[in-house]
Amino acid sequence: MNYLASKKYTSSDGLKAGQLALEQSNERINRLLNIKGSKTAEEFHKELGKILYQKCGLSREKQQLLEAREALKTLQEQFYKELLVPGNTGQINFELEKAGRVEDYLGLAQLIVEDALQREESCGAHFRVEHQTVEGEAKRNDEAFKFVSVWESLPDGKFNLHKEDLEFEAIPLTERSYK
Amino acid sequence: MKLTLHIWRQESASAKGKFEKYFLADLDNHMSVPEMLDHLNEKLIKEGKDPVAFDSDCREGICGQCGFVINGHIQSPEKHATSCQTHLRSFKDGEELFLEPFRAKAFPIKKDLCIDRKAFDRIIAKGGYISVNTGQSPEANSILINHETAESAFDAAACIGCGACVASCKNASAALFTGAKIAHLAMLPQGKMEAEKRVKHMVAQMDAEGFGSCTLTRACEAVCPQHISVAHIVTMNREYWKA
Repeated sequence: MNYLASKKYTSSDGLKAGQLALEQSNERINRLLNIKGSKTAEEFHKELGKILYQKCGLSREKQQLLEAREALKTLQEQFYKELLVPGNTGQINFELEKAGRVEDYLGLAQLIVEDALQREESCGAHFRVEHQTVEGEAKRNDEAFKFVSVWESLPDGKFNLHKEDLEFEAIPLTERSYK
Repeated sequence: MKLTLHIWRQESASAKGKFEKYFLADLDNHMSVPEMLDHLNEKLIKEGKDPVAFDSDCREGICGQCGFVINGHIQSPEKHATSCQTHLRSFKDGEELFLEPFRAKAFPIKKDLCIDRKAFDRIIAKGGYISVNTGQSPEANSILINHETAESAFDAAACIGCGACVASCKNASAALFTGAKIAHLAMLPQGKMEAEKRVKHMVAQMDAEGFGSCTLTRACEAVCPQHISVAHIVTMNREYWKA
């Protein structure tokens, strides 16, 4: 709590960071506006939704996830070639805002798929078809996956996994039963 | 379903606005009004034209973000409904719709159907809250409130801040909005401590923003998506004189 309040920054630090953030966001806005393709952010958003819903939804399967990974990469490439954002930065531009969000979602979707692929167990809302009991219940693999995944995004669009181990002190780890 | 739309187009607060005519022939009568505008905007973008700016967020009538005037009706031709909860089945095939923004001096037009409701935020900032330290929620039985009071307070608290009350009022008064917040907090023991200061400051801010006076015509109550009663305006006036 009060993490930021206790930090001391000199004014020039703030100015530099602010300038940098401004430059980065201007650069990003201009990049999106200058694609001048023929597909709207809404169309990309819907296609993205379909890929995730069908291939990385309630039940997940390795083959489907690999297909999703490819499809997302293709969609992202298409986004940077064919996006159409009307208008400019001189007035309210909801389409530009939406394009920025869809750009973020495209990156996030790839991370979701990457994580679903890596986690070879069923756990919580993550149900891998390959990992279930004979009765169709989620089957965890605590031996191999008793950790929180922290993904670092690398500049080449790849992700690097850091594992944060989970330690159970007061209450031992058990299976949850909904029966 | 076919509709002819006349939509208010205005580039900015200072620009001159006018109605533009659009014809849509491929609509579904289950579309909501914002869905219809999404559909129109996709077309406009593809034609290289400027899409219609309008606000919307939850699209289930609870956030207060959307709201414009449809054929002269504030929010909706349906009773106590928001624009997003208005569906095309409310209109006849081939009908002409006129869409325009809420009009009030204190709600400047940002663009097309978008208005700036920050005046409401500034009224709330003057005292539409109780000053307590945040943290864990308190023990529920430490302050006893009877069921009727809790329900009445909640009826007042149901305001979604959409501004329909202001838009419907001939004086563009914000009395229903401000009254609902003041009544909500005045009814509860937690709100009583700051009641005097709150009502004085909030009413002063309401006037400073350029909202008009209330003459109790009840036009606001008739259009409020949350059925907020003008009785709260009476409570506000009583609280004001008390203070």
